[in-house]
Amino acid sequence: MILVEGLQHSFESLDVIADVSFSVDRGRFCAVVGPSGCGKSTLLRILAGLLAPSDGRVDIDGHRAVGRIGHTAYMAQRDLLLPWRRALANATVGAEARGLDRRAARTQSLGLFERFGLAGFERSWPHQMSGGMRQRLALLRTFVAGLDVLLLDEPFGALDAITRRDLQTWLDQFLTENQHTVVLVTHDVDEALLLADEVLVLSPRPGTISARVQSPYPHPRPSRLVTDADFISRKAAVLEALGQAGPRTG
Amino acid sequence: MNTVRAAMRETAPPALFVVVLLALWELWAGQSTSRNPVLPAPSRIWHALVDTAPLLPSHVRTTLTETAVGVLLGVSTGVIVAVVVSGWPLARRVLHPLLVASQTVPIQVLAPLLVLWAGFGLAPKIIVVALVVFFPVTVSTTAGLQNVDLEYIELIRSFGGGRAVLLRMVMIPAALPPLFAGLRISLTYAVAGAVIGESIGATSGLGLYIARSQRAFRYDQVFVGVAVVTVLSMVLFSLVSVLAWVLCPWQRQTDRST
Repeated sequence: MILVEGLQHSFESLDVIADVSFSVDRGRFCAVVGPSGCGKSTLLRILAGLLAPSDGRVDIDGHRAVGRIGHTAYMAQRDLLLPWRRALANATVGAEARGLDRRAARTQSLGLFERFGLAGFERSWPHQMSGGMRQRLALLRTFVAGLDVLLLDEPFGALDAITRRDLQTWLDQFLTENQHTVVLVTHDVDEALLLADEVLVLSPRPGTISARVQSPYPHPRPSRLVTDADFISRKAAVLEALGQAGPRTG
Repeated sequence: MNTVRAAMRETAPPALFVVVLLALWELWAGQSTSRNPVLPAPSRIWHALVDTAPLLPSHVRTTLTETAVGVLLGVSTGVIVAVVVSGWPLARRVLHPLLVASQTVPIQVLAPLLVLWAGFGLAPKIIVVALVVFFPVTVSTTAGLQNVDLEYIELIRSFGGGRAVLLRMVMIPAALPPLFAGLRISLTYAVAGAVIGESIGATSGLGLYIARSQRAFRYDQVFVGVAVVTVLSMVLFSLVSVLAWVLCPWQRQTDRST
């Protein structure tokens, strides 16, 4: 589980995160939405231990995690597949970097290639794969790292709308079968409500949590959920919280 | 069949061009041989090659040894300097002017001094070759290391990977293609560097063979020496290309079509 308390961060004199507290229980999925530059990615990088916050507390599975690396599997918006590794060798990058047994990681990855719709591409180079496949491979790498907590920074942000919708329903199914604690950062309110159990809305910089909207539907969820009346009312609540801040003028 | 035809299409035009050049040279020089011994015809060069063939292997061995040791020395110091320079900005500021300066000293000036300092043996030639190889390898490897995508580094770090893991999984593979690019450029001068060193003072080597032939006004033999140097350079160049092909499989062009 993830516990964040009184988190603050500034880059020199620029306050990016003002005061953020929340918790995500084990096996739960939390989405963070907010306008550009509200500190969403900074928040995720702090959770990943890549960035030490100016102030506040982060616990992951009961351990102090501020500035501590290797407790979470972090996935950036870019797929960051290593061009000098074939698909299978890219899948094991996280596990290898953690010092896990490479052969076991290979066996596990091979078993998952089919599940991730990548069967037959084990020996392909990243530049031979489509954007959607590359992103699935990056997700596969994140899972094979064998960590409970997944931090996803707009994993589908660079994909076209159709591929994106496919991957969302697919990820929802996969996570239903495999219990993970997830924090997802996204611009896409539909994506947040469709995948997450709780959506946190961040205000413009310096970021604070301006609303928490529950998404209490059972997993796996059908993609047509986005047209459900209750879903739409929750979406309206998120959009209103986002809109309250309003676009900055001047 | 298709690959044979493709290979023909690749090699036929340059081969044909060389044949045409040789024929023109033969025609022009063959007529004026008596008046112009400085440009012997290809047929005379061929005869000189056959005549002196028994002498050549020992000269080739000397030159190849100097080149190989010099290249290894130049590449290893180049890689070490690149690692230091790319990881330590102060080292870059201190070393960069020296690196450039080392490359502006003409080898023809440096080689006699090296012979004075290091004697008539292999050492001065090895140093010349190493100097020739060192700079391009250092510059391109440094660029390769400095251009590594920071997000790759962060990815490995986020999983808890330390320096050794980073070096093995990111830095070395990222630096290999630029290293080979630098090495390929410098190899074309490497053999020539050894030959220049030998022509100043040596007991064996192609440079000595060329210098002796020049003093004896045997220009046909001079051209034999030049031809052997050219062939050696091309063989080395191909060897390094094969090595790059083996070590950097993701860079192979043909893979894109499969």
